[in-house]
Amino acid sequence: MANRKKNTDEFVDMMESKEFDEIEKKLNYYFVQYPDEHKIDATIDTLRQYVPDKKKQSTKLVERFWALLKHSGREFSLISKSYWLSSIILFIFGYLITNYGAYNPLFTLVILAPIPFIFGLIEVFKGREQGLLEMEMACKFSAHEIMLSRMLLVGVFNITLNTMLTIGFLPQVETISILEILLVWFTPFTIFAAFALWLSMKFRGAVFVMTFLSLWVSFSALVVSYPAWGNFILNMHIAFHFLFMGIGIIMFVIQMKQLVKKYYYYEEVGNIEVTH
Amino acid sequence: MPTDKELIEEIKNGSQAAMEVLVEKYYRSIFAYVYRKLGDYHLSYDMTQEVFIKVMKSIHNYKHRGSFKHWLFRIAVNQCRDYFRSSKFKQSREERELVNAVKDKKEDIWYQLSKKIQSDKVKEAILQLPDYQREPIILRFYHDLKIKEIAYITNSKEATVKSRLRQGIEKLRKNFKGGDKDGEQEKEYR
Amino acid sequence: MRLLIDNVSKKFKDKWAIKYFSAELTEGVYALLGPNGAGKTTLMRMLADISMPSTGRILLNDKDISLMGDDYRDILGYLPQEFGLYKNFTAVRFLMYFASLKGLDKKFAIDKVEEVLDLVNLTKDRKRKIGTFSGGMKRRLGIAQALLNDPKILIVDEPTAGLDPQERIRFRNLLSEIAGDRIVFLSTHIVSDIEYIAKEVLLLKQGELIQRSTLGNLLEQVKGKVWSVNVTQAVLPEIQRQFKIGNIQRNESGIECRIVHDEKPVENAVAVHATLEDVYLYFFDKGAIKDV
Repeated sequence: MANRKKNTDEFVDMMESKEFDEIEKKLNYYFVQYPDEHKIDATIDTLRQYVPDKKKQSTKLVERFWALLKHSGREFSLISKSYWLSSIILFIFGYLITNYGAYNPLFTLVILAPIPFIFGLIEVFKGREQGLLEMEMACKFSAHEIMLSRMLLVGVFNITLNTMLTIGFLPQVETISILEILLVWFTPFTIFAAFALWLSMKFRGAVFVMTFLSLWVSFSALVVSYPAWGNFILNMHIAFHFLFMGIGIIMFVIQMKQLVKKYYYYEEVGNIEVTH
Repeated sequence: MPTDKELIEEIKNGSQAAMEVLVEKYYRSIFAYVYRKLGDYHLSYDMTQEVFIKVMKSIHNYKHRGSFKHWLFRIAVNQCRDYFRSSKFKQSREERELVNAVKDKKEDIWYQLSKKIQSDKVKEAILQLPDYQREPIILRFYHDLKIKEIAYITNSKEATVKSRLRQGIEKLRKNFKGGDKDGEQEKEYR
Repeated sequence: MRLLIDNVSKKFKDKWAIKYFSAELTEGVYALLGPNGAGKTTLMRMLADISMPSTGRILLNDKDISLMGDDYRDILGYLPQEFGLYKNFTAVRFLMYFASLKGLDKKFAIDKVEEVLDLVNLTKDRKRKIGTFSGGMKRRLGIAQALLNDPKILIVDEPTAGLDPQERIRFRNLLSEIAGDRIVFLSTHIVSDIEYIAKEVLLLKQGELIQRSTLGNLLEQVKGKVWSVNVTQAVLPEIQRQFKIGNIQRNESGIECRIVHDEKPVENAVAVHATLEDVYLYFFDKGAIKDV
């Protein structure tokens, strides 16, 4: 066997090749009693159920998505009313202040845009925070799907609020197109949402809110007190907006995938398990 | 004959036939490794099955980096290590030895006539090697793998593999020399 | 129906929580008995398919439960040892929500919720906020949740923790009532919980199944190995050091010790009737916990 010769060469520095051959000859006496065909077939039969079932998987995915949409309706009542209410009030407040104070409405949009989603994450992870995770995981509509459907609700709600605020500000920012206004808040929104999601998977609710709020306040302060920074965001070339938005969306999708993976099995979440 | 890569792609697409071909192709070498590592037929049969289940379960993660065979061996090595390290192993080993002791007497005559006694001697010698030396010895001598490959499979450095092999070989040689009296008898049977 | 636990282990880094556990279960109540830290919760989680075994598999009628997905969760009821509830929900609203998570049709769910509330004796508290519930009531609500989808496999981890003795008896009756044609797998470290209801007891020690037997059989094994002896305060420490001691009771003539030992431990010891507590002591070297 040519192969054997070649491998033997690796041992030249180790021992005399004669000795090596001797050892090898000895070792070759060792037989293995293999299972017969019949037993190997039994193993193959056992393995059959582990071969992926592609067809089933893809139809399941579509079904799953519809179930998710349908279930979102039920989750609506699970999210506390004070969350919906306070988000709306915050946006009305933002609108009024900007109008009376004659601030740049685009700054207001950038600053307010991700906030409902951030606080919404607390609602998304409510089951985990209150110790229902294990029970949810054992249900047909499992923990990660509950989280996804709540996130869908919160996301749609957030974007609706932002769009309404954009429309409200339209008369004041006639100079630029709607598309540009949308991009101005949507780009930071995606990036912050992705970051917030990442944080909230790592830490418990209270820690998460404090961390994120402090980050958010410093970011907002920056935008407000250094108009140059804010203007940088506002005046970026549209191509850059698309680029950053693309990055933001990819980051967000990655975090969503992480969430599904993490909340599929219990061991991944053990470290932030809440005891009762 | 389709390549491993083609087979795996087919399995990922749900082909039972591809799974059969792939398992048939590697069954014996995985079984042989497990058997030489653990030294028990029934245990090795179960363990081999377990290795292949693990392979099927994680096949969607397999990315065709490097050879499939080496990936497969890596799983087998880990699976055996796990079993080896659990206290369960010691128990079943003791049980096995008891069973074998009884069997040995019954089949005494057959033993004399076959080469099985030599085989068993090597088996014992290999089983006496510590875990970490046994792995590279088996992979090197019975599976013809290079040091680099063994290093990947056992998740250790090449230098470590080399020194373990050297120590293992040394121990085997002493063991075989020590049994020279038996060695003389062996020649007669040959 | 056959649930086969086949060489299942769970390893966390280098620590083994469960070591190559195998057992075959059919309809009936099974009790997993072992001290705290024996790995009961880890095993229960794997049975509920919310945790992946490191080795081996769990098969329901020859199908790996980790591949069954929804089909398994459809027939599974699970109550973890520690759980929370949405405190500002009423019992009914909470159960309706979980019924929807289990994919139950709304109309069907309305009746089913009433049925399980009745089963766990919470009908009259159905409209109360969960935040006002006692620990025992919360646990009963948890069990109600697990029963919503008429599970063929019911897994309950330490279901009697935090219940008062009266509630425990009620719970035991409930379990034997609902057992019927399901596999009920419950874990406990309290032996009296499983008296009369368990078809088989599985003893778990340091992650390993050390015995699987009926209660009667276990009692048989310790028969003649339980002793009672009167000692003085002076020799008590020595006795405690040498033997497995159960109950210790002071009386007029000294201290009465219950000893579990293969042979007669001391000269004046008398053999006494073995109880489940003695079984526990015999296998786990630790005093059984009668009440918490």
